[in-house]
Order: sequence, then C-alpha cells, then structure tokens
Amino acid sequence: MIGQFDVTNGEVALRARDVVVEYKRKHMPSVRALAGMSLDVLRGQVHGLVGESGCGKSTLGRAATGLVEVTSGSIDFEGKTVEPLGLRPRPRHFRRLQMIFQNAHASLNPRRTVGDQLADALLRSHDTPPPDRDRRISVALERVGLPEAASKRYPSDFSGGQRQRICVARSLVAEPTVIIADEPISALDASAQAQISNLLAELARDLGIGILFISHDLAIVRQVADVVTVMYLGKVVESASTDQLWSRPLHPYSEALIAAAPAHDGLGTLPEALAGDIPDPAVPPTGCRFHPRCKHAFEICPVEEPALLDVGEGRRCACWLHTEAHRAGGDGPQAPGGSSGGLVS
Amino acid sequence: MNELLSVRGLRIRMPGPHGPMTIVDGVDFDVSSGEVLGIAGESGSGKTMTVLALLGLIPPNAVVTGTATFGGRDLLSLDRRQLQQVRGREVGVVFQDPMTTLHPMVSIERQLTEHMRRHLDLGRRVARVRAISLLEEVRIPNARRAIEAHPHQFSGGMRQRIVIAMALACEPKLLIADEPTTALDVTVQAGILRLLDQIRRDRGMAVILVTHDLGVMSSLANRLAVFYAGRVVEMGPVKPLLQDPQHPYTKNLLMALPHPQQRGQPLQPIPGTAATPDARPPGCAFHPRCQYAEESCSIKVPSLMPVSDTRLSACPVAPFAGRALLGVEG
Repeated sequence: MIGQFDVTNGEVALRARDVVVEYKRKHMPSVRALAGMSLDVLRGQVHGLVGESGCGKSTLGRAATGLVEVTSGSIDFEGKTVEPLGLRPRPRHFRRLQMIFQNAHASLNPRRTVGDQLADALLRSHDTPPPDRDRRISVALERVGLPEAASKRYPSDFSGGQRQRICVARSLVAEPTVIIADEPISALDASAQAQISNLLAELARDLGIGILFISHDLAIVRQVADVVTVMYLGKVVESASTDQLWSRPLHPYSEALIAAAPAHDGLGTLPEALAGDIPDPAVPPTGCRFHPRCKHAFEICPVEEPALLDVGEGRRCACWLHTEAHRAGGDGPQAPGGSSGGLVS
Repeated sequence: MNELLSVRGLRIRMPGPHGPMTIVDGVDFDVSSGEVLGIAGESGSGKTMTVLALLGLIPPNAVVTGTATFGGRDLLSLDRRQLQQVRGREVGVVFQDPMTTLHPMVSIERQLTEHMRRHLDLGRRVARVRAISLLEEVRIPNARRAIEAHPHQFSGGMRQRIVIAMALACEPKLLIADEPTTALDVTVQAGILRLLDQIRRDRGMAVILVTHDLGVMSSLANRLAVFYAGRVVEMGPVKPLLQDPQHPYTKNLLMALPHPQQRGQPLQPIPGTAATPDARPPGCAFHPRCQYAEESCSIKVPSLMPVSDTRLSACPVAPFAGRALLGVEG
C-alpha cells in the first residue's frame, strides 16, 4: 500500500519494489547503495526524494533508467520491467521515461546545435518526418520558455538556467510520462532555481508528467513537491505528503533534516546539527540504521530493524517509536487501508 | 572605529574573450574585530574575486586597484614575500572544497604543523601538541589518533573541520571563509556553522563569510554586503536587511527563495538574466531586470547612500527605498 495520496491523475507510472543495488569492489566488501527500497511515482505528481549524500537517492534514479543494474527487486515503468542498458540503445517503450541531471553543461554536446540535440530524442524512437520534427522541437522549446530561434544556437550561447531548460525541453520532445530529475537545480543561482522548479511543477500539473525530484535542498522540495520520500543509507525511513512531513515529521531523521536547514529570516538562529557522520554503507549499523545518530534510540533500536509500515493518513514510517505507538493504538501493523487513528507523535 | 580591514575603491579588471572585463567595480567595505561580514551574491557577481584579491591569489593577468588597509599595511601593494607573511598567519582561509585544500598524500600532522613551524618558529613537538589541541577545538574525535591519519580517512564534514583547524593554527585576526559549507550536507553544514560561530566568539576573530546561501548568512553573519555585477548594491546589519530589503535586487532575490508560507505556489524568479562580467549594462547594472527602473537608471551608476544610521543602499529610485530612514526599521 504505497502512494495513497489524494493528488491529481494518480496512475502509478514508475514502481520500485524492494530494490537492492549492490556495487562490488575489489578486495573490499560490496556496498549496498540501495538496501531494499520501494517507491511509486504517480502521474501528475512531483515526488520529492531527499536524504544526505550517499543515501542512495541518485542510485535509485540511475537504476530506474537502466543506468545501473538492479541486484534484486524490480523497477517497473508503465507495467514493463526496466532492464539494465549496458551498451544497447534504450528500448522504444522506455523513451517515455526521461532523466535530467545536475550538470546541464555536461549533459549537452557543445558542438551541436540545440535543435539537433532535441531531435535526437525523436530520431531514436520514431520515424518522424522533418516538418513534424521541427514543429515538435519548437513546441518543446516554447513549453520551457525559450524562443524557437534557440534551436539554431549552441549550448555555450545560453546561461546555466537556460541550459537546464534545454535539457528539460529535450526530455519533453519524447513526450514523457515520468521525468527523473537528479539534483536539477543544485548548480544554479537562486533565480534560475526558482524558474526550473516552477517549470517542473507546471509540467506535472499541466501535462500530467510524474516528476521524481531528487534533491538535497529541503526548502525547494517543500515548495514544489506533493509527496516526499526521505531516505537514509539505502532505505526509505519515511514517506508522507509534503504538508504532513513538515508539520509533523514522524521519523527522527526527517525531523533532524528539517531542523538542520537554515532559514533566511535574518534572526540569526543557528540550525540544529545532527550528531555523528553518515556511516559507511559497506558496514551499516545493526538494527535501525539510524540508531547511532538518533536522540530517541532505545533498547530495541540497535537490535532489530524496524519495518517500513503504513502508519495511517497515507504515511509510511520505519521507526520503532511509531511502531510501538501504532500497536498501542490497537491496529495491527499490517492493517490494510492504513486508516488507523491511534498515532501518537 | 576599530576597523581591522578597510577596503576602498577595489577594482579588478581582467582580459576577457570580448575585451577587458571589469570583475569588481569600486567596492568599499570595513570589517571590525569580532564581527562576521557576509558577502552575498550570485555566481559572477565578483564576491569570490574580492576576497581572493585581498589574499593576492588572483590570476597574474588581472589588474587590481584600490586599497585594503589591514594592520597598517595595504594588502594590495604587498610583494610576494610580504603576502606570505600575511596569508596563513594573520589571515586564515577556508575554501569550499576541503579535498582540494588538503594534500591527499600528506598526513594531517604535517599539514597542520607546517605553517605553524614556519610562521611561529615552533619546534616539531610543540607544534604537534598545538595541532592536537586545534583538532580538539574543531571537535575531531580522537585527536591523538586523527593527527596521524590522511585526509581520505575522514568524511567531508570532518575534512572541513581539519581545514578550519589549519586556518586557525597561527591565530589569525581575520578568517576568510569562501562558501565553507556549500559542498556539505545540511546536517553536516549545521555543525560547521555552529563551530564557526563558537570559534568566532571564543577568539574574537573577524570573519568574512562569502556565500550565495542567504540561510547560511542569516545564521552566522552580523552584517551583510550584497553584491550584484561587481558592485555592492546594499549593505547593513543582517536582520533588517533580510527582513526589509532596501534595494530592488535584494528584494527580488529574497522573493525568489522558497517561503514556508507560500508552499505549493510558484516561486518568483527575478525577471531577465543576470549580468555577466563581459556584458554589464550601463548605469545601474540591475536596471534591465528592475520593475522600478527609470530613465536615469541606465545612465548614471547610483552610489551607495545611507538609508539609516547603519544601512546603505545603491538605489535612489525604488518607492520602498529609504523607508528605513523614516523609522520603519525594526
């Protein structure tokens, strides 16, 4: 029971189930970048994915587009299982799953015109006649707020924010149902960040595209995302609607992440630091992976790992505090529907 | 006043692809002991070049004019040898990426003690003891063991703490921190901000904090200088500046940031595109993007004028500008 949120569209386009991605290393233990995570991206929804560096949020994006191999579990896009690409071109069906990256400059070829690069998204997947091709390119450019004339120019003629729009336009040419945006605004100035965030939110609302918005910037995620999944060390620790998460974070890690983000209110308040460092993912802590840094940890936390449970109101949380509270509330942890009211914060 | 550093008329010019570019165009500011001056601005605004010029670390083809008086000397007219006496000893520096600041093949001990031994003429043992206490001050766990280690054995946050320890080693009067937390996670960033705040209080040191992140500014800085296109457009104490900006650029920049009260609504980007160093508009560089611009804005460069006892703004035009003068400032 995932993704039961009251948002528009609502059809599951990308579904990850118990995904494990393991990186093998020579003479060293392998690293589980994803240690069994599940997530649904619904059409028309901006799904924020947050967590510290090394938590596996980018690995999920790369696994979903076939850029890294899934060790176990499965990722389905529109009902078909995503296979690792290797050196093969992507199967036609998956053209509707697009990705944009942090560094727009590196995502574009400096020696080809913008129009040529946008046309790639068509040539690889359709046999589109040239007039139709030009029309679709100019529609995509207009959609991202660039003039039609941009197609004759080169990436170096554009600013950082405009280049990221070109990347978005290129993904739009393929008429996607899901766009995975991996830190799409991290390299941009505040004003360009606002533009790209607005653009992605518009695409979800107007075109019904599901956006997986991977970012470490919680303030922006709060502004644009409909639902948020919080990851820690390869696992989901909490997922909730954005309003729920910020008004009442359930998992201590979500709480710490929110408290650590500084506010630009001029009040001189120092943000709350989270004790300790991110553990080595090759040797994750026993029990709950967050327990060595958690200020609420108690006896069971280092011993047994809490499951990610439906805790009501469409939220999921993997924390013993809320498992206990949930049980005390009288509802079984696996209660279907998940509309228990016995939650204590 | 007890200014530690006084910068006057700082101008930096460099050859660019389309002729000479003015990176920094006449900047004045002061920093007093115990104060954190924030330098805020977007990329290309000249904020980093300003502090690099103070350290003599800008490319040799750049032409720097103006003065920067620090302890009775002009930093901008020192020769290489004199600058080496200042850098690391009287002025400590922390850059964005600790991995490029630290040498990957050299032990923490050598990196921490090298300039102490050179500048302060300490013996190996004394320097080592001091290095350990510095690591303790920046809260590196197990400092006695950590000093033997190499940079790769530490996490990003711990590395940045080591860089801060290096910057503090010779007890500088001024610490320059250029985007010190930008490469770090928010959870780790919060720890570094708390550390910098503590050190500043303990040592009564002046800090110049350069960052584009107004959240970081708000947590740490006392006073803020907002850069746009190589000039300071607004300067003043951080609280009134962020709560009641006087310059249209500052106001627009703050409006472009996410606000918890406006969740789910579109953000408000600044109209137009940022002025790049090789194409700066005449007059007020912000006028093509400014909704209050008048004809005069494209002709004359507005100077930084007082709008209250403590605040300066370089906009004589915007209708809200100067309200602080009338007693609105809180």
